[in-house]
Amino acid sequence: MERFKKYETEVNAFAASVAAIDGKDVLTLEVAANALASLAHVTDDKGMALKAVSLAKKANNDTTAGGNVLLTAGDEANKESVLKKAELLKSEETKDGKFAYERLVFFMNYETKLGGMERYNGIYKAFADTETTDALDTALYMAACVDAASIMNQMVYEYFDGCLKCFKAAYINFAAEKNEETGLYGDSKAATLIGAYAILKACRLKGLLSEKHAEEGYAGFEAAISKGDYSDFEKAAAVLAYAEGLRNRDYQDYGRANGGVLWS
Amino acid sequence: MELKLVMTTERSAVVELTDSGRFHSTKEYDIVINGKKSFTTDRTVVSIFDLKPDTDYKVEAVWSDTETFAVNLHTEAEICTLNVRDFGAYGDGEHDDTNAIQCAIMACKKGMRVLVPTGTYRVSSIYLKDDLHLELAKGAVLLAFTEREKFPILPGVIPTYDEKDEYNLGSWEGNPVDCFSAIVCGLNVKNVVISGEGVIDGNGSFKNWWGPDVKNRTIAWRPRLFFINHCENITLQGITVQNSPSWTIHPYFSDHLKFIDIKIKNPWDSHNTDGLDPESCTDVLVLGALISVGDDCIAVKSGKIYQARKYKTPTSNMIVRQCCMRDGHGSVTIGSEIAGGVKNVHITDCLFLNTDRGLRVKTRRGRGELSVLDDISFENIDMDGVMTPFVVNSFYFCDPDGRTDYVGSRKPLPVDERTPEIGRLTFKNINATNCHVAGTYITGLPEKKIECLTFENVSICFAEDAKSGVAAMMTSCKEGSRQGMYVAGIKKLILKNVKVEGMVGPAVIAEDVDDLETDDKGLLEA
Repeated sequence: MERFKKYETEVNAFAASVAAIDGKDVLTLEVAANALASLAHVTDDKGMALKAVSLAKKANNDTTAGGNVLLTAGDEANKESVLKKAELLKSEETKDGKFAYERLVFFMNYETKLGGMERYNGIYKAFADTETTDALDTALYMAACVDAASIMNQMVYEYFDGCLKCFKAAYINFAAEKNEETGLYGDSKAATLIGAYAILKACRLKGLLSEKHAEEGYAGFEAAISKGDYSDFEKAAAVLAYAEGLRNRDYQDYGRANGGVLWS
Repeated sequence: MELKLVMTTERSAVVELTDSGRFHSTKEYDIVINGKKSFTTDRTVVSIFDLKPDTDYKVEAVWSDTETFAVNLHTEAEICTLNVRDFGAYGDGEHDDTNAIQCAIMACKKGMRVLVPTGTYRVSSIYLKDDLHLELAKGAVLLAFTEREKFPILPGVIPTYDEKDEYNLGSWEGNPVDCFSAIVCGLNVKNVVISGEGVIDGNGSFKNWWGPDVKNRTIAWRPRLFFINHCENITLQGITVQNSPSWTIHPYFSDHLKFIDIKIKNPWDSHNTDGLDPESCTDVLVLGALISVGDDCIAVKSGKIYQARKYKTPTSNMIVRQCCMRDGHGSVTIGSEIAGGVKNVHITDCLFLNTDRGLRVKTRRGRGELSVLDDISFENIDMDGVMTPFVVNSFYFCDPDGRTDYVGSRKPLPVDERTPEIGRLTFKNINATNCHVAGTYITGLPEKKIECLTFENVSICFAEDAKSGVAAMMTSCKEGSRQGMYVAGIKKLILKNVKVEGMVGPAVIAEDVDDLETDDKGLLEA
């Protein structure tokens, strides 16, 4: 997307910066690892892809953070870590049948690739039962919905559609948080950038009509970028939104240049 | 006994001899047209070609110069014939004739006929239009390309501008997802007849559509050979369709359909090449068809749970009569994508040969509460060499989550919005010889049992050299041979004049059956 090209230098600097974070903040690490993996995919940068995996590995196995990137990378070397993180999810399930939505994307990924899709119904219900608090919370939830939809097996279609419906319901609340003067949501750069990512990805997945909504995503990114200092989380969010902006289109390309995969 | 007129076009007719035969008449007879012998046949349903438009004919069926049955017919009028060669089609098996044939089709007005004469015409996707008669002459072959880039794609879902609804074009295994356009495709059209002695050849092989990637979506899901979406009043008569990339004839949300004297042929080991899969359709007649394929011969469907909840459209009012199904997985199957329900489906006077299963219902938890099967009957059927004549499988291990405990557990689970229902199934006047694996393998869900199962005048006997196999595709069904009638999870079971011979063990094993009514209690003894 030509419109985003002018931010390339700034975003690449953000990517280099978040690749070096220490990984103590689990949420930042999760977003950063996903962001680097996404940018690597769009730019076909194998070095960046390795940095994403390396970052994901910084998370301890007493948290699910990084699990999504490790599982998607599909490396045998990461398998043990992935399985340990998956065990953690099962024990959380046993507790009270609810999952924190930050971990739902990893769980959906795990169930799709290794778990036989046994718990799709439970994961979807967890999405449907989640209530968010502020703009950032809602933006993260929206991102989790579209990430889960893009990872899952589309042939269990009712859950794919269910995830997109959850996204749309949250988007209505998110839109109400917009400050029309600044263009920020909840007066938060982080919420705006994560929201921009989620909106653009929802357009790509046809959960939203691009013609009507893609501009919200682009404008959100542009409202939040190049505005003062950035925390590691904000940098990661910027990379994530930028990567999605680069690959975004209002039609399906059917992955023709990518082995015919869905959501290329 | 009588000779009945089934249909006429401008150039052909179909007659049916009702002589108690099953696909084949009880003896050969001659067809005499306007006093002149035309041909000899042993079929109960017969197409007559090379007639002239707007002309009277007397058609007689003559048995051994003694008995004669006659019917009078008048062919329809024809304005003109549009020969695809006149539109630039080469018919040489090399040039791409798609555009030329499509041009002829678009030029065809009501009362005209598009003719594909003898020759081999390479095509990708051809689209039908309203009021079309397309005739494939004897020796005419529409031979499909197999390169994916030649085929347009039907998007699964296109959101409406108001974002409150969606426009569904593509479909794969009951879900609204992107698929390649069919070789012959109809979208929102009505009043179409495709007739003739010619062939539509999907050109499928293990080097292309049935290759190693067959189960995966690659760019889009595989094309059907014939796909109609939201169409009405569509008839296929006389043609042969073969070597389909996937399901062969897939009518989808379409009504008033007739498939008469068609031949559907795919190799027995080709993948997912079902013969005829009406999905969420009403008023369907399948008459005199010969089906030999690599999956279920006829599979009645109504989508998976998303489609069912959105459109609530069962397949209903369907008759299958005087057909021969052979060599496939199931002769007539209901399922497995039946989330929208199936009602009022009747299979009569048919012949099943060497299929894995004769009459087959397959469903599973997760199809949903709208998945109600009811008023389904099978009557006057001869089966020979069918591995297991009757299978009802409520634990079918299909779909990405098919092997989970949720699907396969034989313990009762809570009834919820995902639980399907089976109502009344009737099996009457059925003779099954040379069976192999089991007489029946019928399982209802323990938490939602089959309402009523009736077997009346049913005879099952096993082959001397019976092979072993798995009666039903479910995790708890073990391989075996010569098993009697296994039935489980049924509210009311009626057995009247049922005979089972050559089995090992009891004739009938009934588990978790609430009410058993039989005129022969000896069936349950070892």
